[in-house]
Amino acid sequence: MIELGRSAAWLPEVCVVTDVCRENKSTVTLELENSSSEPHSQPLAGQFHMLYAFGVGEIPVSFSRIESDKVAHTVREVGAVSKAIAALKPGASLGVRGPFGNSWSVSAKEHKHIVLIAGGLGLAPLRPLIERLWQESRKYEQILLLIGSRDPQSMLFTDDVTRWRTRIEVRRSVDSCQFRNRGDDWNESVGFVHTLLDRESELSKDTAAFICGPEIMMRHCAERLVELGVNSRQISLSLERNMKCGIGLCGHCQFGPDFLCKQGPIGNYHNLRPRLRIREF
Amino acid sequence: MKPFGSSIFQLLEKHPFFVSLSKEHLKILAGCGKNLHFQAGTFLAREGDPAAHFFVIRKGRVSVEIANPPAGTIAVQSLDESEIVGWSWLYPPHVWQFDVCATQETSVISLDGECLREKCEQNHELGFQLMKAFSRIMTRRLAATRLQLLQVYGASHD
Repeated sequence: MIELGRSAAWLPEVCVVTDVCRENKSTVTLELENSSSEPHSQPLAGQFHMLYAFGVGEIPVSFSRIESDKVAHTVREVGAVSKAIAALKPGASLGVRGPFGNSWSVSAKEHKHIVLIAGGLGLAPLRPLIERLWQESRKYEQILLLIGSRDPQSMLFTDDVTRWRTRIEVRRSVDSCQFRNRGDDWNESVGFVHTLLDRESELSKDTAAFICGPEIMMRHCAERLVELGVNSRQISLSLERNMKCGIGLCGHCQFGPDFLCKQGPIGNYHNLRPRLRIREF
Repeated sequence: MKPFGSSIFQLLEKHPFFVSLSKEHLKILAGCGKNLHFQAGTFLAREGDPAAHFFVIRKGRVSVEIANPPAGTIAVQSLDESEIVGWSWLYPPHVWQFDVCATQETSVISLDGECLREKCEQNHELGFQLMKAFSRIMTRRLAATRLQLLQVYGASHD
């Protein structure tokens, strides 16, 4: 767990947006200067920042890219704050607190087979982990990345996917696909993302799985992985609740005994499974 | 489409879908089967046509789709290697409900549904085993389709 100094936890630091990339009609990636000079505050894959649009409000957003001198956050326009953040141009300022939360944990010593499953915007929090695995791909026997999306137009990071395919097996699927002329159509899979696992009759017992996306999607993917022989303790999910303070004090993101901003957002399916069935949570 | 030679019995025997069938049943099935090859863009089945066959994909990918004129075509599902295509042959009115198009070069085992229906009427154990096998697929695909319809990834960006 990363212990932040008082100022980093409470006071937004002003960061400059250095680049903006529109991923699709409603999703934008903002590149920010990584102003973290302290080693303890270097962000890790899976963690999040609280991003503050001045005069509008603050939301938690995971890191979609982590480099030594810059980080990126991918934001979908759904509410007032995310719309304000997505409208920022290069040179604009943004308030930043964090990084907060735990991180994706993977070790080539323990796991030779890796399955990553991303649904929709869930690809963004997995992206720093995918980049690391892509760089270290020789340490693993198999890395399988499954990506689900609403439709072909909503697919994120398509250039990255092309590059990842040089070392990682990537399968993509969309829920909906309409085309006018054959040849213009989507030439990958159509169906819910967990059907991409139907080709596997069994997965290795030393498989580690990492899932990020809507909770319904994560539940069904995790169950499918368990059916295929993956240990539920080796399945990591990234959950989302109403993160506010980011340091486990305010209680807005309470999920049973955990505060997801501090003990989460990532947890293993074995521990989370009973709570995922409680509707009131 | 053109047939190519291979032992249908051996292929079916190794396939997980037919694992619960006895050798006697597999021989009956193999007797109703033939290998076919489809070029990308050709149709294995057309909506409204008599459903006289079902297919086991050996290689390639097919798209289960429906025409939506004048907007174009909606693909509702893709099926890859080892998947089973079509159950309309088993249930009245024995008519294809969707188009099935090869989106890649695709090799299949085509099984004659009309022939098998007759065999199932004569051999109820074979019929029961096939019903069980198809029910498993239908249940799994129905559940997946329900999830697909939930729009869990949010609203359309169009």
